[in-house]
Amino acid sequence: MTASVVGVTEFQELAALYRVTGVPKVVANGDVEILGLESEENFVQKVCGVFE
Amino acid sequence: MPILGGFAELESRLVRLTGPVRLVFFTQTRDSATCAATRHILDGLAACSERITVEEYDLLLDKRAVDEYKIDRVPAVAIVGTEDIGIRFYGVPEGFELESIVEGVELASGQAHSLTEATLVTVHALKRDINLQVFVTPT
Repeated sequence: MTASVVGVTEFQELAALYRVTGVPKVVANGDVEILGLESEENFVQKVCGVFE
Repeated sequence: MPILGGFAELESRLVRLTGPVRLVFFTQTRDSATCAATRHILDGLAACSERITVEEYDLLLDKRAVDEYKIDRVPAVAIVGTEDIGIRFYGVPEGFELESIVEGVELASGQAHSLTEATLVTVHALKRDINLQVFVTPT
């Protein structure tokens, strides 16, 4: 698992590609999208549940 | 340490780092404003701890480093400790994002994370790679 922080200001095209309408927004493998803050349990479930 | 002026708490955290951290910075002269700002901040972080070093590569000229760290846009920073655990920062780490890059530095230096045992079990059981992109703004 790798993790990148991406500044919306500097990378607006990438932000537009993933429809970033608010922050923080997490995109996993360009597929799963999570907008806003989640509990650790919910976050892991949403990300890992898809890729198990 | 003028870069982190007003962020004394972050400075004190960097002073306590236990392991070496390389801030592997990727730049490109065509995008000089944001790259210069990023380099300025990285130098400020390095001034807080002798365990932090900054290396600079050009996105177009240093293909070997670009491939090694899998960088495709700038400004970018690979935060690397004794091993590369896959932490990257794309953009200028300013404002509240100073906190993000300092946390990345702490993790890379070997500081313990705060994840639960249940999370670790789930992540270790993954059968494919996952890349998380966390979109942020500095304010």
